[in-house]
Amino acid sequence: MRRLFAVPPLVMLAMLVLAAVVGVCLFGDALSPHSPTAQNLRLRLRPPSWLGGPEGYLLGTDRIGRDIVARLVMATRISVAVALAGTLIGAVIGTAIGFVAAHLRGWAEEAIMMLVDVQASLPFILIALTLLAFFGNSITLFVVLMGLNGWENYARLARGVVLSAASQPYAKAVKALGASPLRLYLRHLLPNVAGVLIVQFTLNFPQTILLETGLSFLGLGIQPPLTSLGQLLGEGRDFLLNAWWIAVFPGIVIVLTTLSISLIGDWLRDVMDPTLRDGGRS
Amino acid sequence: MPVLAVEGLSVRLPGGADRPFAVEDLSLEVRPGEIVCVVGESGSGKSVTAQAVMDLLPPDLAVASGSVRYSGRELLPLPRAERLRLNGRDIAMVFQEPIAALNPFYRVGRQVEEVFRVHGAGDGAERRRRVLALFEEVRLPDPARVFGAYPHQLSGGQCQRVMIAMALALEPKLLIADEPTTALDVTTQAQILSLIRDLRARHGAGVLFITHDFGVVAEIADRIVVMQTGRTVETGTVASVLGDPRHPYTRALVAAVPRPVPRAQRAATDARPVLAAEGLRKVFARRSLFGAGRRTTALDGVSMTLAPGETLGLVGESGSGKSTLAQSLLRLVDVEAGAIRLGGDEVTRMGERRFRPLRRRIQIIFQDPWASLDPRQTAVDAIAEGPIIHGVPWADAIERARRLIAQVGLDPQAGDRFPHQFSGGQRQRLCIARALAVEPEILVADEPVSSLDVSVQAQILALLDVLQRQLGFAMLFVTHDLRVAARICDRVAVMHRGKVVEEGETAAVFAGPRHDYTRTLLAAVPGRAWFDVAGVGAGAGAGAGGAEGRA
Repeated sequence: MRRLFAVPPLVMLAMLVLAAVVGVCLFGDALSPHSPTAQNLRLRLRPPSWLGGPEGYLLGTDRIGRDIVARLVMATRISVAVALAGTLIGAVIGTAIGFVAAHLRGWAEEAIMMLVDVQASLPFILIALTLLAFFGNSITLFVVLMGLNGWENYARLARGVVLSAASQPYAKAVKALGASPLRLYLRHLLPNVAGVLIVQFTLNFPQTILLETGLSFLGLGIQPPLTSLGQLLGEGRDFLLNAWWIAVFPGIVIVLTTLSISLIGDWLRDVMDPTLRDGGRS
Repeated sequence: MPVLAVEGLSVRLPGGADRPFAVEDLSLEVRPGEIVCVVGESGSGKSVTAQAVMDLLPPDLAVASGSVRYSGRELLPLPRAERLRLNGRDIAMVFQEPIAALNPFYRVGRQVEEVFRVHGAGDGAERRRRVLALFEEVRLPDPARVFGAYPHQLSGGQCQRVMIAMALALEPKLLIADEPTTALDVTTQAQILSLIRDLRARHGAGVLFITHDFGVVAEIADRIVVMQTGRTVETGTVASVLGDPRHPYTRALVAAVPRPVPRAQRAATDARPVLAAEGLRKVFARRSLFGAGRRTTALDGVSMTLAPGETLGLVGESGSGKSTLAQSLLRLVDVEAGAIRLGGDEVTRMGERRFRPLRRRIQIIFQDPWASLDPRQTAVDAIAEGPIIHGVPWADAIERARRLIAQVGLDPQAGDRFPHQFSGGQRQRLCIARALAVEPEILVADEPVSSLDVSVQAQILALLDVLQRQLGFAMLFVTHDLRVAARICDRVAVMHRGKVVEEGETAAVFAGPRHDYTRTLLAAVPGRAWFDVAGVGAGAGAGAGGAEGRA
């Protein structure tokens, strides 16, 4: 138990940043008196208030006079929600496929793993661009697309850990007791391999955020009047020289969020990997 | 002058361990040409002793006090570099896992040659000649072929011979062997032991031999040091310690060693067999996407029957197919040909869904008690799971589990603990309870005591015996250890390369083995001569140390 609390300072910092992001998502409305869609054409492209900008606009305004703070809160909310939903979908689908492959063995397993290899060898952003261009943009399709990104990692991982866990004597003993495969997989193997999958989740999550911001930056992601971090970044691109605050603050949020989650993921991997824990000696 | 003299050696454990010292106030001497055995159970500090002499202690252990002298020279204050130079040249070590101790990437000849290269001996041709001579000396077949082989192409016994050759390369005056035969088959073990005895005579080196097996001690030791939780409890010559142990712990250990003396067979029953197998065949083929790989025949037409309430021993060395047979009887491995009858049901090709309800009748316990329990399930839940699967109401199943925990000799209050909170022997008791919870007619025990200390081993065997008498299940007992088989089996079947080569009543097989392989196996039982002299009857070992069982 002692190890659990021995959190390195950097990871502690990452946890604080992440807590702040979650706080902003939940209670961000209190941060700004303005609505994220309220325009004020007399206050266009004004710098943050602490750099001589108008009172009450802490991070300045965009090209139609909307408050950057309010926009940022909305964008963070949507980006995090989309990435979370997308990563969850990918994790559930991928894990299920991995379990199925490990259970079926034989040619079915080969076929599934071939599919995994195919998916891993295609640049996902191209698939996403094509599908979005064909089917038009809807937030549902967008979230599903996010989910398709990275499922192959879970499938590969889940298959591997399930195969190794299923060869453990305890899995054989449970099977010998007469347990159905469903019972064996859900009650015994899943809890025992969950650690690895959770770590994969934290490693996958930043990638999903980056994919979302990338697509939104290109204009194929979240559509106005909604906004996301990537879209804010895209809007700010044209004003980088004379109104840098439009792009820079969303950029900072993206970097801090993804970096924090990656750091926590790396740390979790070390904590949960039994080979990195100090074992007993004989 | 002794080659090794250890005096008052104490090695400190890190804080939070169960005791302050791994080794406490240990003194021993190894004289030239003498084999000194350090004997003890796991956690006794015997390996730490060897590591302290070799300067191989794990980083969190440190020598607290004492002296280690090699040929009169104090080792402990020497700088690391100097000790490294002594290791290999003057002091050599042989480890338990020969395959793990060799680098899989290089040919073994090169690895032995490296010893000469590091210590700057001879040119290429000269070094090769010396390596081949060494291989000859450790009786490796076809030294030139072995020279060019990779470790995975050699058997465990051959790898251990290579390790011994490597250890002998620079004519060390002291050889430290840490359980060098524990990972080997019994016939290979006998050969390695005789090799070490010969080499000692020829080179006059002192040998510090670490083992947990009193049979091995009886085979090889001149003098014995018995250790318990870091302290020496008894030292003396083989004859005095084994023949007339003074300390109660030594006495308990010696008594716990299973004798290769068969137990009396219980009255044979003519009842219909509860389990019968006929002509089982299993070939393991390693296939890959890109074509066929190697094929290994694990079962080659194996037949057996098991009568109600009897114990059949399945004896054989690693790779003989005994575990495959055990698992195929439970349909954990599917056979290619043959028939398995469970009671009146032909189950060989029955669908898994139809077979599932019948699984209640045949249960299994495994060798490794550490991996045999779901780490995230409490003891009670694990034991109650079987009955719940087969339709026993939850409350009744939990009740039954608690009763079984008491029946296998554990504190019923311990039922809410998780597996990692139990010792190895206690976990094996839990595994037995889990298997018996569904009231099986047959219990398959796959090497159930092989990874346990000898005193715990005796308790588990006694427990199985008692439970079998109370509950009347038949048992298929898989083991590589003839001594264990003798203690518990009514009949034995000897397996060799996928075939049953001999089968019969235990006493008859031990008294008059008909097959050559059985004779080889029996002759290789370590400590056979000692057992014959001691002449202790069957079942004498049941009483060793009762403290372990209680949680």
